[in-house]
Amino acid sequence: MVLSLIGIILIYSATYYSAAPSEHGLYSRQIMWLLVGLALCLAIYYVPLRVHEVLSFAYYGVILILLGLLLVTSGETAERWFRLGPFSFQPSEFAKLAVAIALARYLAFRKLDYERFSWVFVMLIIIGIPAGLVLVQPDLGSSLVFFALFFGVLIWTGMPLNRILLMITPLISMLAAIHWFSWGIFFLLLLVLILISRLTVVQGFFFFILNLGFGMITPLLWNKLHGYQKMRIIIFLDPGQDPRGAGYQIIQSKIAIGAGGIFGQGFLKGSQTKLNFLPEQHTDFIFSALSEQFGLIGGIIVVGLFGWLFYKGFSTAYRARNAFYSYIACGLMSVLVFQVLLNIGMTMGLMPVTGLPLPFLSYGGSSLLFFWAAIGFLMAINRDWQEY
Amino acid sequence: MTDAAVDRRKYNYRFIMLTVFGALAVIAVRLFAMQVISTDFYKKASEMNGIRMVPILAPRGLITDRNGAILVKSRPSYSMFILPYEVENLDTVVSRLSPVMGQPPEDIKEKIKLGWQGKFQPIRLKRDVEFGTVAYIEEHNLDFPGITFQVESTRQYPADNMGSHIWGYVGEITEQELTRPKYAGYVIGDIIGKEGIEKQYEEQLRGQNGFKYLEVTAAGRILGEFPERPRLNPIRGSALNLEIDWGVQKIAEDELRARGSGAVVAIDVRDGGIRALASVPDFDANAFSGVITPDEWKAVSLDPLHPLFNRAIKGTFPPGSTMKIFTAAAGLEYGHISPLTRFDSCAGAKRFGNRVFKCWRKEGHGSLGLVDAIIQSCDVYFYQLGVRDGVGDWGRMSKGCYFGQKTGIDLPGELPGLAPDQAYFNKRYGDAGWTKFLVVNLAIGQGEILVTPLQMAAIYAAIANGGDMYQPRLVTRIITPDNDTTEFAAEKVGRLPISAQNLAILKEALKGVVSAPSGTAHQAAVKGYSVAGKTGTAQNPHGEDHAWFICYAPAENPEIAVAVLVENAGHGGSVAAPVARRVLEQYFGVGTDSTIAYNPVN
Repeated sequence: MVLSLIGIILIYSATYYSAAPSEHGLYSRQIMWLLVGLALCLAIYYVPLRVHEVLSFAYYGVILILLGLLLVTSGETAERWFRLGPFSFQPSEFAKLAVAIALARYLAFRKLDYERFSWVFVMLIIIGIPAGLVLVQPDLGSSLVFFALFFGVLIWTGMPLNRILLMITPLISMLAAIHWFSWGIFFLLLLVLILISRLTVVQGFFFFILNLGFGMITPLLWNKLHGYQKMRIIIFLDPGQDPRGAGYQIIQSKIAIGAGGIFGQGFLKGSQTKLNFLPEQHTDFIFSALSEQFGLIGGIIVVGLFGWLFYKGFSTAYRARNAFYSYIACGLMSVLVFQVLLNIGMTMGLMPVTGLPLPFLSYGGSSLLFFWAAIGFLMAINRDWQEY
Repeated sequence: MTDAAVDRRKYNYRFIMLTVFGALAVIAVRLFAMQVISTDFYKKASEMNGIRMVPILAPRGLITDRNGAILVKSRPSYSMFILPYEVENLDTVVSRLSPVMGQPPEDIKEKIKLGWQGKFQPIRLKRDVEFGTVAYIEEHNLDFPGITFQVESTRQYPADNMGSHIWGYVGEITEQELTRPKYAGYVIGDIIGKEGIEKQYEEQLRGQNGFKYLEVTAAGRILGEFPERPRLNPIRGSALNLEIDWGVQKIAEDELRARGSGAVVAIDVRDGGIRALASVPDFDANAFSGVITPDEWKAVSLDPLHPLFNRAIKGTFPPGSTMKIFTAAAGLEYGHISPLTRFDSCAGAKRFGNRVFKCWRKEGHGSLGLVDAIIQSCDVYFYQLGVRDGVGDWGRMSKGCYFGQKTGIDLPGELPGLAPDQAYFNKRYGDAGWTKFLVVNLAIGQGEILVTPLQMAAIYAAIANGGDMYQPRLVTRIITPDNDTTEFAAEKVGRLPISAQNLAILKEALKGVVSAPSGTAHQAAVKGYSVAGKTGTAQNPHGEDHAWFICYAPAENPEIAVAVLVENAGHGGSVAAPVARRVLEQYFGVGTDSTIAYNPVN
């Protein structure tokens, strides 16, 4: 854990600095945030985990109130931040933490019956409320993070995978419903899945109706998406469609990564970065800036460090004997994994542009604080893995 | 937890790990594919991204006179630009610029508005800024944020508007011109010849633009030249050697200016080379080739004297009495008269049909033979000769002598004039709609017939050289930057349909016009040289008549022909002939004032 700390600080500072010339002074603020983050990490490490067990629903309540307040105060224009003097913070980042704790608290003190789905719906509600509040901000990317958290934890409960797959079916139904033909094939597969899952008749019927309903939502939802959100999906499918506009980010990001080569163009020497062709290079596209300057080697080191962190995180969760601890670790790791994969995938054109920051590397105080807090929890859980 | 649950958790844990590391592996493979396998593709894309190719305009070719004196050249000059993104307070900067540029702030702001292409695009405020101004602004650069200078090539023409109608002027290509196939390969901002030699020889003068590669940011901000791509230097345009004799040209223009407006064309009778081509009023080609304000343009284009109008090649006038030798040629050539034929004697006027036609000399000329009739320019004689020729033969002769046709000079926009003949009148008035007395007016060069000064010079040159019609030309030689030389040989268009014998009669008469006691153009006489010529007066329904004098010299062994037209000046002999004399004196290097100093532009 300590090693990972050092490693991450190294990458973080090096990479962060490299992106700094475009926005002078931001890096010093980020260093300050880092110090705050480290302090938070240590504080969490030294606070007994039992405290959170007691306070878990209180956290959840506070964050709901904050998100609600944001919604009320923001008025006409969409707001994601609370402003406190010179600083602003995104409650959605802290919501991730609160939700992970609340979810863990709920699951840890319940006997889970895999044959029934009622507790899954409670999970969905616990996550759905803050996710919905974030979604209407509107922040599609962050709301997706909550669902990553949901599925990560759900898998962690030991729920059979075919059942989990069944639970995703409404979402697949929505995607498949783009075309009548694909939707038809989807329903054939769904029937097979329902049969092999040995559900009760009521459950099977319920899922069938659910899928039918979600599938029909698709056209309605598509029309409700914001113009830029629709554009992002279209552009993800075909970035060449609009090389000057929305597809520009993906194209420039891919150029930056590809031009990096094996060894990179050198610190502060990436032309895409230097000449500002790379959009949002200190936030969403920081991985592209890194890859341009440090090449394959830099990219692999970062990916490798993340991989190591993933491994340590999940094995901590796996090892922990206390279910509450384990669920917290898994929930936080789900968020981390999801953001890392989505962000890096996005910079390489593997995922749509969602505007999610890369954990630890991207500029942004709230995000950094969240991930350092997560590290604090993981370290504490790692320490107390033998506790019941 | 039950054992089954633990097993399931183990199973799901492995599933999560597999998924997560599978995804990381996909990312790593993708990184490898992009950064190792296709890195060249992306590197190229990245390089092209940040580089903008900016043309370096090639300096246009030199223009020299026949003696190699440089008349028009391209010189480096400073152009002033403003970079909007560096200007915080535009009003302050503009108000400081105003006295330096000598322009009101509103005009400067207007220019910025017109040239605006985004805040990172420099806007040209002024071409050819004086060095003093450049130095002043550079010294006080803190007071002038965003003002930069670039060295550009500027055309430098001779002072005092000299020769402006020969070279014309250059200017930035318009959007409309860009669409023409002639200008394929040109881009916005290119300078092209708009008139005169500059336009005619655009292809040769233009040269080849070079390029420099600038590193730019996504927003278009220029960071400097791209170090890894050397600039491609431009290739200067080819040099043109003109047939023009600069001394003769200057005299022609000076003499014309002293007399108002008109044109002079001096042409080498032996090969058609143009020694001088003057049209007055004229314009400042230097000003026209820079940035011209709408007011300046208005002033020139709305000038009632039309300074942009090249009278030498586009001005069409009735030839007046200078036409008489062709009426005579028709009579001799088609057997209507002999040199000794006499008509009814001149009493100052004669009636044809129901109209009385006057002679210019009220008291009349009495009875004259052909040669004397030409020398004294007796109208009554030529009225009768014209009637004898008839419209048919008269028209045949004038057509045969290349009236009504472009001479083919290497300048854009030449007009052919008008040489009416039987077919023309049949078409215009119907087969029976006109009387044979139309020819009475034509015989003395009035009426429908229209000629340009250039045509008269070229046709008289053909008379002088024994009947060979040459295509007049300004450029004798084109020299590329690699010293490849293209010479333009004299180009014979054809022969005048006049026999040598008859030509000799006409030339004898033309000589008499200047030298005989009764001749009309004594004022054209040049000491030591015999001059042959003909005066004329072109009736002008809009005002005072135009004065013609067309001549060649030396009469016995002609070298040069000169056509002079002075607008609204009355009689040819007294106004136009002295201009021709001064041109000839300069050409032969004789005369009262001696020749003018040879003083081409430095």
